[in-house]
Amino acid sequence: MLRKEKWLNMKPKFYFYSLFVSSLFVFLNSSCTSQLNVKTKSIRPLVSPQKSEHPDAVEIAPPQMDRISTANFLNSRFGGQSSAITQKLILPFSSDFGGRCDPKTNPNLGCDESEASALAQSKLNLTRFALTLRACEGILGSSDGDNAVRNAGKLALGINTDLPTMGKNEINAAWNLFFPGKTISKTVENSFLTLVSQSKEQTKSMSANDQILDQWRFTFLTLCKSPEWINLQ
Amino acid sequence: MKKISRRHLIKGVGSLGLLTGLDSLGVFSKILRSSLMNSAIAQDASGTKKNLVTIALMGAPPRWTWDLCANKNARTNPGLFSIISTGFGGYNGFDYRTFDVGGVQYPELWKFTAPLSSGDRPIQDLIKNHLNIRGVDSGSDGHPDAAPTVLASRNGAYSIDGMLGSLSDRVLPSVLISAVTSEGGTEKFLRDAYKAPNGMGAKLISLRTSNTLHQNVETGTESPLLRLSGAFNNRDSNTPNVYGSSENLTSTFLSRRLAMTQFVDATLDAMKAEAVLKNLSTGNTYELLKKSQKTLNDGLSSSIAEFETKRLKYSKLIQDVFQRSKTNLPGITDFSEARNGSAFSNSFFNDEGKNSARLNNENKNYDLRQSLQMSEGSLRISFWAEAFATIETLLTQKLANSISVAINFPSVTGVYVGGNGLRIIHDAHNLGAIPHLVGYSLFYAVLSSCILELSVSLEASQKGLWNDTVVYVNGDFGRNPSPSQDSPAEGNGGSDHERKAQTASIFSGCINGPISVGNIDANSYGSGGTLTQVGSQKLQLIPIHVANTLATILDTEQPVRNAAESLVVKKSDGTVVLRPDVEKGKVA
Repeated sequence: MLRKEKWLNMKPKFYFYSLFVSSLFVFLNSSCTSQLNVKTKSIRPLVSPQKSEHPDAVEIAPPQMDRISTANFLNSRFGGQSSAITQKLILPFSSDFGGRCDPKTNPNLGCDESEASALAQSKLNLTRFALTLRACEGILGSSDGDNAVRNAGKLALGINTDLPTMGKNEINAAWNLFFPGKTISKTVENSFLTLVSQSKEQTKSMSANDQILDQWRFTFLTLCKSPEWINLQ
Repeated sequence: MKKISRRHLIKGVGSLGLLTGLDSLGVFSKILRSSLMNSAIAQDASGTKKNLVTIALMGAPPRWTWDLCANKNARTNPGLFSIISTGFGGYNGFDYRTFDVGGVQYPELWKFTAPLSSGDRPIQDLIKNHLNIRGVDSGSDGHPDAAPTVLASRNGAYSIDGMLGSLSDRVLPSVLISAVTSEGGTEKFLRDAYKAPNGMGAKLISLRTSNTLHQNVETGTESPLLRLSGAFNNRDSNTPNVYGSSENLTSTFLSRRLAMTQFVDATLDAMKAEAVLKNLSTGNTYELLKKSQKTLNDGLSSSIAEFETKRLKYSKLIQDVFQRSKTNLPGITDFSEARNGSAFSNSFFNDEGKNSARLNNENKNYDLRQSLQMSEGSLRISFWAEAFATIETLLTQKLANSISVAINFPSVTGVYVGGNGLRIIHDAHNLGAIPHLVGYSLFYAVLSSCILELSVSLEASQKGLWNDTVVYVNGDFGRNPSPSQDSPAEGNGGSDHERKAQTASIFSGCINGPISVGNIDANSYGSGGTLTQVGSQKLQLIPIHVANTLATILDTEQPVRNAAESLVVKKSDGTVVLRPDVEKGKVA
């Protein structure tokens, strides 16, 4: 009885393994010849796409936000006075951020001769990063910085009340504001937790409200400084 | 055997991990890949220590008083100087002399002594660092058409300045300076010519955007260097030591920023490590971010202040060259004395008959030399001074190492021909022989003096910097020194485009010059076109020869692998010499 029970207990596992192996076999066969894998979202091809040997084929970097989308990205997250900062530090620099001038739709962007000939997409350059760093610090560190922190925090959490102290959930929410749809890795999450705990440690003498704002501010500052959110892919 | 680069190795290891799908190997692959990637980034970040300054003479001024005829035996061939020797009407027989320097004949102009900031120096000093490639077929002779081929070699190939920019780790990897007075489409030329496979963005600045630039420079609002690097200059005068002050950052934020910096950086490092593991292309962006941050911290105020000092230095030099040229412009002054009169006064035009009808009455007493004493404002010498000051500052401050400048020669006003202003400009087809000779001799005296000043200043700033810097003077097409076909009957015109007469002058402290390559075809009045022995073949020199030669000097890869090898080699001590199997330049 015991043996039978054991056998019976094993049976589903056996069935499972059989099913898995046969599915794998079907998948391996179908991945090249049928469209099964197209419909199965989680299945990845085992053979990477062949590299193009065409003489005109080139390797490209991921497309990046141009000056207008960069400014919009920051304005939409931080609100308040951020548009004044991006108007000064992002929008005029078409050659660094890319983004042609369209006098019809953007008459206020100073469509001069140099902008008209600006590249639609600019290659990565140090100037672009310097301007973005300055914009991030200007938005979060000027006299209107507290409002920018509150606006972005509330947007991240989807709340209309005061910001809570930061923990894992809040870090993930802030992350999603800059990298929607992309999961934060454990290592990076831990690094943000360290940053927040340091902020807590250093701001003990501040009011509770300022302590919380400080945690959010430096979390957003780090995210804003990180160069990856400008990638469109 | 083909060399495998680190990037290829990294990609190979990455692909191996992807293909196998084995966790353990995948992890190993990731670790190895991460380690190699960091190493590759470090390698890329170290960039190249070589600098390239390309000076594009827009409109292709005739170069026979400078480098087109810098060749042995040139003097014995009257055809080479036909425009000078036959274009003067009654001045037939005039002999514009050349002289020997290290086995190469140089036009008389090279005896000019430049009034440098450090004292007088003969421009001949440049010859020992001169590589001259003549008779290059630019493939086209049109203004905008041929321009990009000079820098980009050929359609589809990357430009040498772009390729160097790709290796750069400087704040401004590539800088394009449009320093022309009126030439349309120069910005487009610079952008079209600049091509780089992985290059960071080239920064274009047009000195032409303001006609009152000089005044603006003095107020500090329009300094070219500020416009180029202004993004890094966010300190105000009250708090020059704090970066970010111009953004009105609160004092609380500034102190908190200081306290939190290491934790912000640590988190960014963690994000970078993650990016490197996931995607090879984004890891490098964190390096750029770091450099930007460092430059913001360090500040550029001193560089910007230094620019102004240099601008004044070059401005004075150019004016002094003009002043000195009035009485001593080798080749021209001698000629004047030989004829026992002034070759520059209206008597020249009138006495010789051919030109008298072309002058308006009010200009009969006109002296060309007087017009050439150009004031800074009227002739916009500021463009030149600003261009060279920008170059020197960018190089000495290590802000850029790939700089392309488009310059031209401003119009000389005050002379009228047939009611129209006589314009000594680059592209002068029917200018007349004397204005050509005088105007362009002066032009090249200024250019040579500025390059010499640059070389001396670079070396004074840092020993070996001139060895690591290459100045490449090109044009957008070639020009025939024979009389213009537009006015052959007069025989005193200017000269026409000539695609096979492209000349590339390359100067660097590492060049063991003078080196002259490329033959001149005497029968077609120096239009180039004769074949040059390169290795086992006789070849027409083309821009790819020039680009690949520059690549050798700059220690970078050739933009074209399967054609037109470099004409020079590097010795073990780093000096550049002519390849032993390449024929020295000669007159055919």
